Order: sequence, then structure tokens, then C-alpha cells
Amino acid sequence: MQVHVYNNNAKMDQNQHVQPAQEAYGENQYQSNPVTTPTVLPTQTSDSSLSSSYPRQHPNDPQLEAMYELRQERLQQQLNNFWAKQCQEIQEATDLRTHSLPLARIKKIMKSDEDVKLVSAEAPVVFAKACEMFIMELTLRAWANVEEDQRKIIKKHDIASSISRADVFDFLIDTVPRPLENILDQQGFVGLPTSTVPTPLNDACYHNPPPQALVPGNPYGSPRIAVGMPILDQNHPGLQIHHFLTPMEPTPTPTPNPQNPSPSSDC
Amino acid sequence: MEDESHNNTLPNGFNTGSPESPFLKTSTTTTQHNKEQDRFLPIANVGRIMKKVIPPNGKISKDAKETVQECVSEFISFVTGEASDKCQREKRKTINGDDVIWAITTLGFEDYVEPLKTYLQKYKEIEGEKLSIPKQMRSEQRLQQHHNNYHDQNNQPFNGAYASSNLISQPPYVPTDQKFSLTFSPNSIQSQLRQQDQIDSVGHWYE
Repeated sequence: MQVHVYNNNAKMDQNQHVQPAQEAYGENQYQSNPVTTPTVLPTQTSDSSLSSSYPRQHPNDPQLEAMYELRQERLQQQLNNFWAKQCQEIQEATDLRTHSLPLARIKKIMKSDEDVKLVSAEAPVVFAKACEMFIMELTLRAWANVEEDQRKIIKKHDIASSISRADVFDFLIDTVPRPLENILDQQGFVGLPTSTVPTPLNDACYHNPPPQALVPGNPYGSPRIAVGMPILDQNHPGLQIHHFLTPMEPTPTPTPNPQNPSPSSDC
Repeated sequence: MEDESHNNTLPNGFNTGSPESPFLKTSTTTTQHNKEQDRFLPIANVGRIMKKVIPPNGKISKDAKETVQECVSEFISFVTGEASDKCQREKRKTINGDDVIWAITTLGFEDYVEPLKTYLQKYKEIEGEKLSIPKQMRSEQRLQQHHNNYHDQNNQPFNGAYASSNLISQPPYVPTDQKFSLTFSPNSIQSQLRQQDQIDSVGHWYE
């Protein structure tokens, strides 16, 4: 009963297969607005803890697991299409003198390493193309993350999430802020004490006060536990993280977040 | 607040706003700013490439672009380091295109290899053709490329000014020539008349 009160998206009723996750999204978005006391966290920490390398992948819930795998397959298909298109574009390219990135700057970055002595003229040219594809691959993976959360703006944590999910990007772990990755990892361990939870949130939210970070999760715990669905409780903390970060990070061009396209694309 | 502090932390030469403009006037800050800027590729180029793979209604926050800027520089350094190690083992001093592709393969970016090999092969073919072109034409092509790159990087009206100068210089020339030839005849007639007047005047004076 209480679940429907928070349901702002009419299309969620039509999308039966993903109804639990959609309801969770709607509730999180709604609950991030009101201000309540952080009295629910101790209850959440008492739940049984599940360890998982990916916060969204919970083996105990086959429905959510199937959704996750479906998204992975979709991303892989998009990447395959991307690479096929790259090969085709290069095959058909006739003008290789116009580069999308300045060669002098690439050469300067290459020579920032003291061990690098001489660089042939073709090396920055190859790098210009490699970097272009690197940027596009990162952006494509980040956009898949944005679509999962039914947003339209790529943010810093979308880049960070994409990097943490592919081994080939391990060399970037030190470049992208760790605290966000820590949060994602810790969401898999719901049993952590309450006192340690706010610290990474503060780092990720650039020193926002803890009460703001704690508030969004509190109202959610009570109604969920009252309804008696403990499995969903264990899964939802991972979803809350993304809604914590969305309103707290400054957005150059704030736009409304319509939820219409995602349900149809999920079908 | 966060925007300003964030901009100060990660300055970008091509997107400096009002908070940074006072600092740019200081020579020391400008020097440091330029050095920091050189560590990254221009944020405008990065943003443009990112937009190629997202839907038209998608947007990219500035901090996402800045993060990708840092990732790309790290990617260049990472691959260059691997290529440099290979050259040192083989006692060569120059890193070439094949070394870059080898390093990219070794570091796990298998999907990049086929496109890059095709790209490098095409580039070498064009360079080979370039060598057969006369030197003067080649320098002209480079100048043209330089202008294009300058325009692409800075998004300034340089190209517009160049086109404008083209319009000014060439089309008006023909009308001027025509006018000149047209005005020559009446001028010539008037000149003859004046000469006659002068002769009469001189004759009269003598008389």
C-alpha cells in the first residue's frame, strides 16, 4: 500500500518484469527530498550482509541478476557495434591529415616521461586515433551507466563506475577518485558499523555534511521492513548511492529527468 | 561554491570563466596555469569526441569531461612508457607508430589494434605520396592544415576573417579594372581639352 503512494511514474505499472527495480528508483527519488531523523540505519545494519564485487549484482535475487546480465549484454553489443563502425570508418577514410586532437600536445605528454628520447612523426598520429577511440569507449560505457539510472547527464561518478568495471582500465584507478569506488564496494557489505559509513560519503560528496548523505536512506528502510521484503532491502542500498550523488554534485545545465524512455528500452 | 573551488583545482585553459580571469593577469599564475594546461588535451576537443557516442539529448557535465581529460593523459603516458621500455630493450632511440600499437596490444586494448593498424598503414601510404609532391605544394598544404587546426582548436572567427579577406581581395578587382578602363576615355578627352586651353593661353600670352 505504502509503495504505491510513492509511485510517481505511471509507466511502471505497465512494466511488470522490472517493477521491483522501478519502484525502488521511484521511491529513492521521492525520499531524497524529505528530511527525517537517521534512526533507521541501525536497523539496516542488523540485516544479513552479502559480499559482492558489484553492488548491483545480488545472486540471491534472480530477477535483479537477470536484469544486470541483460544490461551487460546490451553494453557489449553496443561496444561491438562501436568497434565494427570504427574499422569501417577508418577503411573508408580518405583525409588522414585532419586530427581530432592536437599532435603537439600529444607529443608533449609523451615526452613528459624523461626516458622518452625521440618520437617519430607517426607516433602522435597513431595516438590521436587511439585517444579518440579511448574517449569514445569510456563515454559509451559511462552512458550505459547513465541510462541505468534513467538520467540524461554524464557525471564524474559515471566515468569512475565504468573504469572500475573493466580490468583493462586498472591503470586509471589512481587517476579517478577512490572514495566513490570504496562506496560501491562497501554497499556490498551492509553489515558495516554505522560510524564508518559517513566517511566515504563525505569524500565522494566533496565534504558535504553527513546528515545530508544519511537522510535519503532513512525513510526507505521503515516501510520496506514493515512490508516484509528483506531481500529487496538488501538490494536497494546500492541504488541509493547514485541518487545521493546526483543532486549533490553541481550541474552546469540542470534539466528535468524524464523516466519515459528507459522503461520502453528495458522491455 | 563547489564550481569555483573545482575550477581552481582543475584549471582548463580553453574554458576559463570569470573566477579565473583575475588570476590569469598575474604572470606567475599564468605560467603555472599554462604548465598545468599542457598536461591535458584541450577540454573542447575531448567534449566534442564524447558527444559523438551519446544521444542528441544527452549531456556531459564539466567534471566528467575533466575526468576524461585526466584519463586520456594517463592513457598516453601508460602506453608511451610501455613502448619506451620496448625500444630500450631493442636499443632503439625513436618510438614509432608500430611501437605504440605493440604497446596498446600488450596492455590489453585488443579492440584498438585492427583499427590502428589500418590507420597507420593508410597514413604511411599518404606520407609516401606526399614525398613525391613538389616541396612548394607540400608547404602550402601544411599551411592550410595549420589554419584548419587553429580554427578547430580555438573556435575563433579566424576562418571567417580569412574568408572575408578572400572576398575583399578577389571579387572587387575586376570591377575596379573595368571602372579604370571606363574612366580612362573621358579623362583622356578632358586632358586633351585642357592641353588645348594651355596652348591657347601660352599663345595668347606671347601675343
